[in-house]
Amino acid sequence: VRELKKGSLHLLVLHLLYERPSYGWEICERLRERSQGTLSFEDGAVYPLLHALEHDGLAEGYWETEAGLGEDEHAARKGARRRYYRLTVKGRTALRAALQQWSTFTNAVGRVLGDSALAGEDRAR
Amino acid sequence: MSIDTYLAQLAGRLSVAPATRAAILQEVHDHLEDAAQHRMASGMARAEAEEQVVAVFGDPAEVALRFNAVHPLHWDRQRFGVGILWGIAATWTLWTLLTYPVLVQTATQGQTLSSIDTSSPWSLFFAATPLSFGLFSVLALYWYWFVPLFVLLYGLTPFVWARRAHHGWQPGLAFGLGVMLGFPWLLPAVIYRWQPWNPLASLLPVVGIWLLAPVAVFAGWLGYRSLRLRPVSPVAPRGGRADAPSGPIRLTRAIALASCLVLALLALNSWSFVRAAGLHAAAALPPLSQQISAAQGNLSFTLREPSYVPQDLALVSVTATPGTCLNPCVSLLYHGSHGAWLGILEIATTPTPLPYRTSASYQVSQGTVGDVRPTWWLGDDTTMEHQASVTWVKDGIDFILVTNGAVSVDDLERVAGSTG
Repeated sequence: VRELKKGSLHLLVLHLLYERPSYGWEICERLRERSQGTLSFEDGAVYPLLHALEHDGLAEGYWETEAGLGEDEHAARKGARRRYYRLTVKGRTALRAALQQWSTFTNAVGRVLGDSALAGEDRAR
Repeated sequence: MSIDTYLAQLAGRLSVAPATRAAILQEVHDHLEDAAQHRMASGMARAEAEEQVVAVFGDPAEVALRFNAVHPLHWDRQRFGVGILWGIAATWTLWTLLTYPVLVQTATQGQTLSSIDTSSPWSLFFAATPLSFGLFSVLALYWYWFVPLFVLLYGLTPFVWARRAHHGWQPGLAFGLGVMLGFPWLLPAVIYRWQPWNPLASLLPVVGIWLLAPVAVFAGWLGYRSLRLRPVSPVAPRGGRADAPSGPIRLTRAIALASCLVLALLALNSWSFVRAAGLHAAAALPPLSQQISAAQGNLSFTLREPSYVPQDLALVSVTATPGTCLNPCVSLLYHGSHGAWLGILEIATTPTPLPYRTSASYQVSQGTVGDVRPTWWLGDDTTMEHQASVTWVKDGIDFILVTNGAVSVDDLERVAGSTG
């Protein structure tokens, strides 16, 4: 369970990269926006994870120069070099496995909480 | 904290290959700049924006540790060689700085071996370097409690190093080999000065120093094992921004502690240097007549001076410090040219009988000195640092006459005969 908790960032980043190639700051912003501020990791934790994904062959990084204003007009600095990451085939396989693990974990937790909730209601009656 | 300061702190803690370091710093710089621009676009001042983005990015020490874990340095031959050199340098520095205060203290207490020159602070400093062997005996005899402290301080370097390098036993092993190579003359010197009647004392330098090598490996391993990265928490910090970093890895505090330790060590050495400078002045003896009368005041018997000493020898000191012998005693020291010296120790035989060594490794001969038959000890007793001694008992006084071998046997017999 602890490993799954620790690995949630791993899973989330893999998924975001599966959607589209992205760079670190953008990944952090997407995490914050999608979770509406509920999930907020230290940005400094994301980069070592990206490097680890690249080191393990799950993602590949490449530098790209920003041509102009992008989707986020505040974030895109004209001429800025950014290191993008995209998922590899191995990364997609890892994502599938991670999603399977997460699903198993959340289902199990849900089942346990469901039973507990029922027992609590019985006692209350 | 500004972005530049943050990047400087991160760079200082990264222990990765140079190309990787540059790429990491570029990437982090881009991120922080993007984040700052984003905040400034909504009307925030640059300084405040920078402060916020570096706070959200996290403790530079912990971020560096995470990067170091992803990009561990490959310990090739070159890096290992540098590690050994670092170990040698640390051995010389630590050994000298840690032992110099001890040596000065022992010199102040009169416990230093006679082979150690206490005439100046620098000569004592030289004796504290790994070049000197007398220090081992001093440590073993008087400062044995110092050894665990020394080992502890010594283990700190590979401990910190392994943490920083994010490696297990390699930094410790390199450092340990540096410790062993820092004393390359250790083994030959021990063989040369081997004392079969006291193998423990002979082996003490080797055992004492070489044991530091496995200590270094163990400390390096411990340092690596102590690395525990804070788990990444998915819970949003209060107020929507990261709190002050609170990970278990507190490198800043460790560096501050190490700096305090180094400063304390330097201060202790400076103070010892001043004490050593005063040692020589304090060692200036009063006139011989005063020394003799002062010594006589501490004795229960009448002090005997030899009526004959070889021509080039002259009495330089008479000491009868209470507590230096089991029974009341006095020592007379004669110095001559070319380093020749001769000492006479007179000890009351009562109340405690005096033990004498009867090792068969000495050449023992009998002669006659006046009406008593003394015992000769001729040999190369480097522990006591004399090459000949003669002992006899007369009028309730034990006489021990020692010399470094620069005085002939005939002269010794004449000195002995004229003393009792």
